[in-house]
Parts: sequence; structure tokens; C-alpha cells
Amino acid sequence: MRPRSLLLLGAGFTVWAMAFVALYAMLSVGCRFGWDDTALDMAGGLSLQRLQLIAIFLVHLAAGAAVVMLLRRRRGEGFLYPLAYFAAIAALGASVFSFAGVFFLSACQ
Amino acid sequence: MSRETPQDRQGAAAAPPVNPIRLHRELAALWDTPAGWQQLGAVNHTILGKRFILAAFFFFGVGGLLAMLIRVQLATSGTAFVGPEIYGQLFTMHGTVMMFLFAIPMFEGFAIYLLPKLLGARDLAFPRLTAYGFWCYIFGASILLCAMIAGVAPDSGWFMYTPLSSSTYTPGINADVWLLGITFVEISALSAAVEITVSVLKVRAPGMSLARMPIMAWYLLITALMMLFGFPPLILGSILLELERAADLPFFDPTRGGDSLLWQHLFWLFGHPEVYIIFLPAAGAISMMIPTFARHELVGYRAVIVAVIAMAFLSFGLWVHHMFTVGIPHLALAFFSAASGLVAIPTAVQIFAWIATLAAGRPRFDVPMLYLGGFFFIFVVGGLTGVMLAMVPFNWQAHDTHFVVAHLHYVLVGGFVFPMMAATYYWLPHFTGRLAEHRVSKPAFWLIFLGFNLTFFHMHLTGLRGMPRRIDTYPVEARLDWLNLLSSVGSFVMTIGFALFVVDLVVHMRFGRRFRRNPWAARTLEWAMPTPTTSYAFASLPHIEERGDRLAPDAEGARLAAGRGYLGFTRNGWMETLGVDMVGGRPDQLIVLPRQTFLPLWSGLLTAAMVLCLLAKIYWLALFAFLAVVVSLLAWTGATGARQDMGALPIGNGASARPHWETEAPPSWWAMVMTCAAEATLFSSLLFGGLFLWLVAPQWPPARPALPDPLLAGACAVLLVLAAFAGRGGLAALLQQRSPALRLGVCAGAHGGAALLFALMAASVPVPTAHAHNATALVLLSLCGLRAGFGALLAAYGLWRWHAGFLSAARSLDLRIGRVWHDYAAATGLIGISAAFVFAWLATTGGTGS
Amino acid sequence: MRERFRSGVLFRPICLLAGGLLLSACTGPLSALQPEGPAARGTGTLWWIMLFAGTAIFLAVAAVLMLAFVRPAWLRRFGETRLILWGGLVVPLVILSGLVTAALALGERVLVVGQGEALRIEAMARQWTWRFRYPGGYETDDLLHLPVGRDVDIVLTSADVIHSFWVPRLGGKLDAIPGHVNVIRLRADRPGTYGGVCAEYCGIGHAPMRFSVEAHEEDAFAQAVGLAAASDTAVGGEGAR
Repeated sequence: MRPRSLLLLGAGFTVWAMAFVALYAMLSVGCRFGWDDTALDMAGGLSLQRLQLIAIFLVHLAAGAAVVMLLRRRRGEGFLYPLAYFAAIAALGASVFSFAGVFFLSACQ
Repeated sequence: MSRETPQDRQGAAAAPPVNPIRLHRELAALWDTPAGWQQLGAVNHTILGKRFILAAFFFFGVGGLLAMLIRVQLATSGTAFVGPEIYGQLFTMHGTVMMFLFAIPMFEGFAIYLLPKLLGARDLAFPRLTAYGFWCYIFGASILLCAMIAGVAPDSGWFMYTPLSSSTYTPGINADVWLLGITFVEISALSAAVEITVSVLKVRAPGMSLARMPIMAWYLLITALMMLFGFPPLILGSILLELERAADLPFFDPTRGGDSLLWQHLFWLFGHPEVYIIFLPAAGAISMMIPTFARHELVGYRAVIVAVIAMAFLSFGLWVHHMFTVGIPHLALAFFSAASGLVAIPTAVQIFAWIATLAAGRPRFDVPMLYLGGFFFIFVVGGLTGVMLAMVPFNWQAHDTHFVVAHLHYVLVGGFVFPMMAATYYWLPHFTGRLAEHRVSKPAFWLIFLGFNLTFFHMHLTGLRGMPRRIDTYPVEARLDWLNLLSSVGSFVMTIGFALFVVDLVVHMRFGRRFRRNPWAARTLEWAMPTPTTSYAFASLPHIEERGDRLAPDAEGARLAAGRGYLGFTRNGWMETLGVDMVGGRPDQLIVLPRQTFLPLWSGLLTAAMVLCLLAKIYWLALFAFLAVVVSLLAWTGATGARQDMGALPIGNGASARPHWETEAPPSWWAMVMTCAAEATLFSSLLFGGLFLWLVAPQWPPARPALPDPLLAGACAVLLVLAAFAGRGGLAALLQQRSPALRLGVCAGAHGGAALLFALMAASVPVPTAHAHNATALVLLSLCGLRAGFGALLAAYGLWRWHAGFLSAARSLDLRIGRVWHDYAAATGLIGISAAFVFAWLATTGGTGS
Repeated sequence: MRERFRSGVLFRPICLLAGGLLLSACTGPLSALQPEGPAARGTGTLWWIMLFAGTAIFLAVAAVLMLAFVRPAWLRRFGETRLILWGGLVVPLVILSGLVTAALALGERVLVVGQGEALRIEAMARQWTWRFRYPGGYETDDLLHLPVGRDVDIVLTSADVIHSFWVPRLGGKLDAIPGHVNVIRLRADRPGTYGGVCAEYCGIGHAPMRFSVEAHEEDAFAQAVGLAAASDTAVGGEGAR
């Protein structure tokens, strides 16, 4: 196993961290430019703000799931792969837990 | 590993049997630090680890003394023991001393002392860096201490919120002492972070793959990585605030496009991971002690590693829970609230892993276990109140009250002080070679434990009944007297306990019974050596074939002392240890460590001189001191490397390895990678600051945006790319056995040119004191220029090493380290140039500030 | 909806009965445990739930730890991996999910300043005093008049350093930050005088930077802040500018 496999330990949580940064940054940008007040008719009355946050959330969820699936295939190999696999699952769970609020909560208040 | 391996037998056949006493004499002659003045030149991890621990313990006493004064002041309503000015210094210094001068150095000391012994190495990867870190810590701490004695200690709270800490509201030297002194101390934290990371990854005993590392090494590795990414935001924040105070650059001034919230973000981006940086090493120590006393290996070794990884990441996603009341949208609060609650889960995993270990074994009760019991009790309470505080509506009530004071003491004393006292009793025999009597240990524990709870348990209630933090008096109508008096009494009980603890340690050192080896019947490698330990730790290095907590230290210790492991000999007067393949643990290099030297002391003194010049506001002299520091650090390299190729050298047991400077990725190369990672974090924090101010701060847009000259910027970009390619070309030439001189010269010149252009662009930023945008542009470009300047220095250094004959196709290390930096400086320089344009564009078109 | 949070009243007797010494433990002019408004009451309810749940969790962990010493066989029969899985992951996750959901729902109610009708009072903090300005332009120092039974938005700003506005018996705190405007919505249910403090360290005058809140019936409030009918010529009173 190469040193690179050590980095896999943080793969899942890196996606979580990227989601965190993206959501927090775009939330602030959206509030600053009043996206919260722009209701989009085609999206069933959702504001542009909520829509973009949900999109960011889902993209990162998909990325996290992809990391889990990739590691799943090698979860029997050696010492680091199973660790990376379980860490990625934990990260995916953490993503759902931390960011599910994008669907419900007041975005700019 | 107790069995003989095939190589082992070969080795034994090849080498003549060694006399343990003679081997000891030979190694001691090389590794021992001579007595007297020479002790100041010590670079040995055992000596420096002890010094760190002792100094940190001294500062624990200082912090404790300050706490006593605070409790005297708060004992009754309307006390006039000290005035509000002094009280401000008291609580600020209590927090600062405990966090920066006690907790972090204490953990560093433990790590420095233990790590090589746990990993089966003779020392850490960079002994001189250990020494330099120690001097930075001592000198920085001395500055703070002297300021306190002179009555000009920092007084804006340990998190130094602006604008209170800005020059308008704190005109004196107080805040400068904090900003410069703490940044100075943090040099030691960052150097320890690099050192620990690289040592765990590279400097282990042969056969110790990652899967076989003792659990403490995992904890320390992850903690060190957290430090690498956690400290740079605070260092950046401190630099920016000091620049605001000294040069009037308005990063945090709301009247000129700055924002005090930026400071809060930068501070807590460090400040929260810091809490886990303190807790995790203590948790690592618990994970070492519990198996020993349970007489069973750690249950859930892998689950614990995953939990620690999760904790490390999550801890970077909850800093805003210190800022729940600054007026942030509810959804954003929810992210941080959920993450703050979530971090309880990896904590719970560890706690239940420890309980499961106890259940699986046959637990034996001894003094360290008593202290661990105290840990369980206090830390679980602190964790539960932590989850409460993570809930935003409750936080709005409890924030900045004595509820938080109680919570943080439960977490930090429970999560660090109690485990560290347990660890002290556990490893003290290792330090001293004596067994404790433990007659005073138990009363000391009960006094500390009961005193602690008497101080802090009902303090939760004090807070909920409306007592804010950091008030020096409270009115009698608030009906808080009896709660506070009880806390004050409790704190004195606790102090008596700590005094008894000190007495116990002294008695132990003076009268403890001597023992031979491994008094707790532990199964980890640090006990496979004579105690008190020798300067070289292992007379020969083991071959590890089991997980690090399943070893037999007694048998192994005897075998290693007899020189039957690796490197059971001396040669060339070298201080040798082995480096291994990062993941698999196959020995891949012979690491030759530097001898004791006064250079780190000189570098530390020069750094201290620089800090003092900055404090005294003699900036031209500070610049000279800075150059002197750089020169003194370059002087360290004189003793390393060789002028001819050595090839593979025998390392015992029939194996051989090249000296580290002839290998692909020796520790110093990894140190450069880690340094770049830390610098990248600092740089990203600056970019974040620029965007944050544009987004959030009042008084935007700026009157005159700082748009760099496109021509200069383009030329600068070209030079940066040229420097990177020339650096790579120089290395390629060397590897093809041609002269790299020309390309290195081009590299140095291009870097120098880029640095000059950056300086020009920075100098042409219009009125940097007028607006935070302009100030940010100035710092951004200057930072890029500094990196290019350092690149030029590295290239020139490579050139000198070539002319001095240290480089060859086999000995290309210096150029490969250089290449990492040249690439990094070019990439971040290009990002910096683009960022300058983006910021200028945002400032002109980004709408009006709300 | 609001009635649900009044159930916090049920906990008060429990608190009061918690022992002789603690008889007056939860009350006081600044006590967040003696709420007089919906925000503080909701938070108080959350606190009591968390306190009882926290105590239960603590006792449970302590019991399991004890078992490891006195009845390790029971835990071993349960299985070590299962112990870590259930104790470390499943149970805390379930509890946390419930708690976070409840806290976020409460947060939407008490933290979010919605569109609804509310009286706006400006609060300007400076070292080391609070100045309150009412819709008619009337100002008071270190004394905040509130109408009873009506939502009030306190609009917080600071003239110098960071301060924090906290009236524990009415609701949580919010910072007054130079260059920013923060709004906290409070409501007092009953007439009375409540204590308020600055909760963020703001220099040597931090501790005495207190203020008091007087909640009046609507008429008395109008009288106090000069909003009474124009015929009322008695302008001013204490703290009038």
C-alpha cells in the first residue's frame, strides 16, 4: 500500500468539510444578495436561496455516497481500506445530520 | 517479536556477540548531553520532554494562582480585593496561561518524551527543532510573565475580541504582549506539529506498520495534523490584529470596511479544534492506561481510530458555536449546532470502548485508575453540558455566563488534567526509575475531585441565575453570594489537593523504591528499556511483528539491551535511528540525527530579540533580527549530509539501508510538505478573510479599489512559473549527473524577480490604511512576495550545497525539498495574483454594503 | 402552540422542591429559570428536559462503568462490539436526533424574527451604558420600558466595542456589534421589573453595565414612553432627554 492510501482515511470527511464550506459560504452570499426573497415559480415557490442550498447539499451527498461505494469494493483489503470505508460512512451520516436543515429552516433570519 | 526472525538469526551469525555494557558505553558517549553549560545545547527528546513537562507544570501553578485570586475577588458581592483593571488582567492571563502555556506544552512534552519510545526509535525526526520549539515556548512565556509582573498583562479576555483589543480601546502595550507573545509560543506548537506528524509517519521501528502502531501514536498523529491546520488561522489573525494596532491597517475596524466578526471567526477556527487538540492526547493516554489496568488489549482499536478521525474533522465544523449570539441566520447556526451535538458520538464511542476493555479484562485498581475514575465522572458531565450548549436556544441563555465557565472547566479539567494526572502516576516510574508509595496520592485525589465539584458543579446554576462571565463584582440583589462563596471555598480545597499532589511527586522522587523494569506489566514498547531511561532509549531497535499493545517488553527489553536488534552498534560517531516505509513499516532508510548544539538556543534568542523589537516598536531592528534568525536557521544545515555517496549501509540483522539524504522521501522532505500544508491554511484563511469582509463588513465598497497593474502581475506570474520549472530542471539535471547550477541560478533569479514585482504591486496599493480591502490586498501581495523571496533563498542554498559538494545524483535531497517549495510558491503565487484581481473586481461591482 | 411551552410551569414546583437549600435556588431577578416571557419559557422547558435526560444518561453511563467492575460477565455476554455500537453510536444518535430536532423547532419560534407585527425599540450600547429609543423618539438610559403581552423587537447596535443584551427572564441574549444591526424579539407576559445585563466583556465598566426592564400594561407603557394621546402634556419622566 502506498502513502496515498493514508489519505483515504480522510476522504469521506473531506467531502463533508467541502459541503460545510460550500453551504456556509453560499448561504452568506445568498443572504447578502437577497436570494431568499426571490420565489421561483417553476420550483414550486421555493426561493432561489433554498434551491441552491438544497442543490449543494444533494451534490455533496452524492459525492459522499460515491466515496462510500468506491471504498466498499476494497473494504476487505488490508488495514487502511476498511478504516477509510467506515470513516466515509460516518461522514455520510454526519452530512445528513448536519445539513438536513437546508430543507426546513429560515435561511436568512 | 519475542521469537527470533530469520533475519535475526542471520544477523546474529554475521555479527560478533555484543557486550551490553560496552554497547551502552559507546552509545552513551554519543548520545549523552554533557553536564554543565552543555545542557543548554541539549537536543535529546528525553531531556527536552521533561523540560517541557516541568515548565508546563510551573505554568499550571501560575494559572492556578491567578484562579485563586479570581475566586477571592468573587467570593462575595461587592468585593474590593482588586479593581476591574487588575481583574481584567487576572482572568485574561488565567485563560491564556492555562491554554497556551500549560495545556499545549504539557501535551507536547508528553508526546516528545514518549513518542520515540512508543515507536521504537531513538529520537524524534528533528531533535534540533524540538529544542528550538522549547526555547520559543520558554522565551514567549517569559515575555507574558514579565508583562504580568510589570502590571501590563493582556486584559481583553483570552480570546481578545476586537474592537476592545484594538488600539482605540486598549492603547497600551497589553494587547501587543498577547499577540506577539502567543504567536511566539505558537512557533513551538507548529514545530511540534510538524515533528510529531513526520516522526509518527516515518521514524518507527522496522515492522511497525500503521496497523501495528500503538493507539497513542494514532492519537498523536491525528492531533498533530489538527494542529497543523488549526493554528495557522490564529497566527494569521494575530498578525492582522497586530498590523492593525501597529500600522493602522483596518482589518477589524467597522468604520473602515473591517469587521470585528472576522477576528472571532479566525480565533474560533483555531479555538475550537484547540479544545480537541488538548483532549485527544489525553484520550490517547487513557487508551494506553486502561488496557494495562484491565489486563486486556484495547477493545475496538479500529473503531477508536475511526472515532478519532471523525472527531478531528468534526471539530473543525463547530467553531461558530462560540458565536451563536452574534446574529447569524438560523440555518447557519443549525449546521454548527448539529455538528457540535454530533461530536458527542465519537466521544461516546471512545468512552464505551474503554468500558468494553475494562469489562473484557480483569480490572485491577491502582492510583492511576482512581484518577481515571475522576476523569469519567467529570468528563461525562462536561460532555453532557456541552451537548446542552450546542442547542441554540439554550445557548442564547447560557452563553457567556458562568454556566459556560463551569462547562469548559468540566471538559478541560475532566478531559485533560485528570487524565494527565493519571498519566503522571502511570509514567512517573519511567521518568524516575522509582515506584511510588501512593500514601498521599489518594487523599490528594479526593481533595482535588471534591474541591473541583464544589467549585464548579453549582456554577452551572450561578450562570443560569444570571451571572455573566468576567464580571468583577455583582450586586447583592442578584442573590448570587452563597453560590459564589461555595465555589471559592471549593477552589481552595482543590488547591490544597494540588499541593498534596506536588508533595506526593517530590516524596516519590526522593524516597520511591527502585525497580527493574515494567512495574505495571504493560505490553507496550516504552517499557522495554531500562528506567530511568537512557539518552538513546533503545540500545538496539526491535523488529515489531505484533500490534503495538500486544508486546512482551520484559523479554524484548533484555534482548534489545544486548544489542540483538537493529543498529546494535555505533559507527562514524553517528547518532542513528531507522526510518520506515510510511504504511508498511519496512525499514527504508538510516536516519542520522544531529548532535547536541547551541544553534537552536541562538535561533531562539534571536527570535526573542525580534519579538522584543516588535514590542518596543523598533521595526528596523526587528527586520535585522528577522534576517539574523533566517541566517541562524540556515546555519543548522551545515552539519547535515555528506560529500560522497555511501550507498546501502548495514543496519544489523543482515539488513541494510541508505542514509536518509540518499533516499526518496526522508523526514525533512515530509517536513517541507507539512510546512506547505500549514502555510496553505494560513493563506486560505487570508483569502477567506478577504471574501468575508466583502460579504459581511459595513462601509463597503472602498473608495479606491486596489487593482494591481496587469503588466506587473503578468510578468510576476511568468517569473513564478519560470522559477518552478527551473527548480525542477535543476533537479532533473542533477539526477542525470549534470550540473544544476545554471538552472538553480535562473530559479533563484526568477523568484527574486517575482518577489520584487510583488513588492512593487504591494507598494502601489492605494492608501492601505483607508479601507480593509486595500489592507487585505497589501497583506496578500506581501505574503506572496515573502514566499517568492524564500524560494530564492532555497534555490541559492541549493546552489551553495552544489558548490560545497553535498549534491550528487544520489544525494539530491536538498533540491527535492526545494522543488516542493518552488512548486508551492508558484501555485499559491498565481492564486494570490488572481485573488488580488478578484477582490478588486468584487470591490467595484459587488453591490453596496448592507 | 404557545400553550405547549407554558408546560414549563409544571417544572417549577419540581425545581422548588429540590431540597431545602435549593428552595430559592432557581429564582432571582436575573434567573433564566424564572421565565416571564415565551422565549425564556420555551428555553427553560428545553433546559429542564435536557437536565433530566442528561442526569439519566449520566447515571446510565456510570452504571455501565460500574458493571464493568462488578458484573463484567453481563457486559461480556452483551458483547463488546455491541456495547460500543449501542452505547457509542445508536443510543446517542437517537437521543441527539430528537434533541436537535426539538431545539431547531424551538429556535424557529424564538430566534427567528418573523414578519409579524412588533413594536421596534432601538437599543444603542456604548461603554458602559444602554440607551433605548422608542418609536416616538423618546429615549431612556439603562431603563427599558416594555408593553406587556406584545412582541417587541429590540434593535441592537453598538457605538464602540461589542456588548451583549441579556434579559434572562424574558429570553436569550444577542450581541450588539459595532457596524452591525441585530434584532431580538422579546415579550413580557406580566407587568414587573426584570434585570438586564451586558453579557460580553466590554472593558472595565463591564460588571456595572446593568439595566432594568419595566413591563407595563399598554396604557402605562404609552404614558412612560411619551406615546400617550397628544393631550397628555406630561412629557418626560425619569431618564427623559
